[in-house]
Amino acid sequence: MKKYYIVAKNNFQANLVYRFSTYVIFVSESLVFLFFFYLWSSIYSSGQQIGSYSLREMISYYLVLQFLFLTTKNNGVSWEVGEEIRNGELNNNLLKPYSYFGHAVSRSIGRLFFCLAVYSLLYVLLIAFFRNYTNISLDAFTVFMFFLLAFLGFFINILVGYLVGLSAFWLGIIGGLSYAVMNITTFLEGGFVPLDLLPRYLNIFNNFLPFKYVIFVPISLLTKRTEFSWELIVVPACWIVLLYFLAKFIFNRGIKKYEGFGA
Amino acid sequence: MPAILVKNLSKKYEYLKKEPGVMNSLKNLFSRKKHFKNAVKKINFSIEEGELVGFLGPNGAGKTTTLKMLSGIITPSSGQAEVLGHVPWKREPTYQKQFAMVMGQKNQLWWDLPPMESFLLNKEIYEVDKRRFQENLDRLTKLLKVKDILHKQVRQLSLGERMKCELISSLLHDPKVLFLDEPTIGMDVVAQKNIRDFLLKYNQERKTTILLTSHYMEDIVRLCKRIIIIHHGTLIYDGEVERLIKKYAPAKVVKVYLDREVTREEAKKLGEIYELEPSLITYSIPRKNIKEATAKILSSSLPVRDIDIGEIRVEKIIRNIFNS
Repeated sequence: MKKYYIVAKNNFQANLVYRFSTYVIFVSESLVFLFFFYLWSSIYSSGQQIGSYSLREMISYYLVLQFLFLTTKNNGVSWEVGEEIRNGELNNNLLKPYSYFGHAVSRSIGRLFFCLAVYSLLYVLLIAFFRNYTNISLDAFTVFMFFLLAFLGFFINILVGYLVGLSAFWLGIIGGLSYAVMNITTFLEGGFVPLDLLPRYLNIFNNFLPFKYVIFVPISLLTKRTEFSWELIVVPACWIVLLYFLAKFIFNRGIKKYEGFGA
Repeated sequence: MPAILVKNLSKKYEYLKKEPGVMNSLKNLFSRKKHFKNAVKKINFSIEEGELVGFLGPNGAGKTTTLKMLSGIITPSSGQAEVLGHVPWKREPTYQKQFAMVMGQKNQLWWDLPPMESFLLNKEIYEVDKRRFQENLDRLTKLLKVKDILHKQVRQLSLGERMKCELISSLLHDPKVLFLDEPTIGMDVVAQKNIRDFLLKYNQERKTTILLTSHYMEDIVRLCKRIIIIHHGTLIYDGEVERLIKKYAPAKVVKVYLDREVTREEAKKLGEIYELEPSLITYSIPRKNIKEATAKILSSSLPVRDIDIGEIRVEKIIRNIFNS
């Protein structure tokens, strides 16, 4: 296991090398949040209600959403895996006694912890500053469960990205597919609008998919729109197991087609 | 039992052909034709433990494809191979812990971090204990004289420095078999020599079986007793380097750089001309006469600026094999 820990640690360190991009994100994230803050304030000022969301709840949703985009959703797994297959860098992993899946996941975990370490500070500041305009739970149990759910969502997201990346074994380049999958899943995760604002039939369909556990469910818990129940942990955990075995199966199929070009 | 055994090994690649131009690219969106290329055709050889064998051939001959099959990266289309008693493409960890592959054109080190971080990662991947890791690291850094660059970012290293670090990184677990794919490619003469000296010494000390591909004849002549030549996927020579040289490369190439143009008549007096360019004469001179021939050239009336002695190109050797 220690080898995967080192991969994660090395990735954490490699991210620290380029400090400038971190600074830029600090500034741009704050600006994007301000933009949303004023947008929703002006929409709600005419006295209208959007679905069951109050202004407070809407601002809270987008604040937590931004945080998840920057942390658990912030991974380039599909792109990294696709590129490594395309340009033959996968060779490095095939030569050594360690799993490529483990490598891809631990690399993403390294990045996740880097993002958490750096950007949590920004969000603590934003939440403190806008506390009178938001509805975010500060109860220790809820916050802990939020992070647990977000972590499960992170794995679902990684596995889906990994599967899309593996399609490079057959497609060569994953650009088109990756873009389509990213847009559709982000929508189904609740990454564009809260899912309970969508038509009922769409939500029924979505209930058979794992995506809402990536964004919508963790946010609903933290913004006090959902009560905690064990189902919120058990269902995504089952999805992770299922997706893991699917990924293993697809990798073993793809590797037979692999030609290790570019080396 | 030989360390490496290859029987009727073949690899057929599938590829798509595309004519140039935007219209043809659009056409390709709808219909594509599959083509096949036989990169390696039924090759056979075996290598004993501790041998250092050169695998020579021009670009695209099938060298790298063969190494990829032996290291388990790709599965052959047909045929068999065994390395240390394992079928490589099963990718068993017990096999993977006993070999290493270094590719001159590929980077296995973590780009944004110092090489030491990659070494520590390999220590865990190959489960090398602390003492053995430290011993190997000390010995290798001393042999390659790289102590001062271990803590510099990989992307800031020169090509030669990086290759030395690649070698260290892949030797930390004492592999019994080492595959080297063009380890000196793109390097200057001094860096090439350093790598060669190291490999020779390492092979003598550790008795590691080494299969080395190159398209520089120089590499092979300096390092290997035995050479295997592959051309268009087929083995065309497997035997002693000395015999090959005697039979197919009896002459060396002497390049004479001049300050002004000379006529063919003038140049011809000093030896057999291999190629003549305005201010560069390339002579083909028998090995045993090199010393006197170069002395003669230097003391002649030719306006010599520089002189360079090397091996003939692999393409020429292959032509000689086919012509004989």
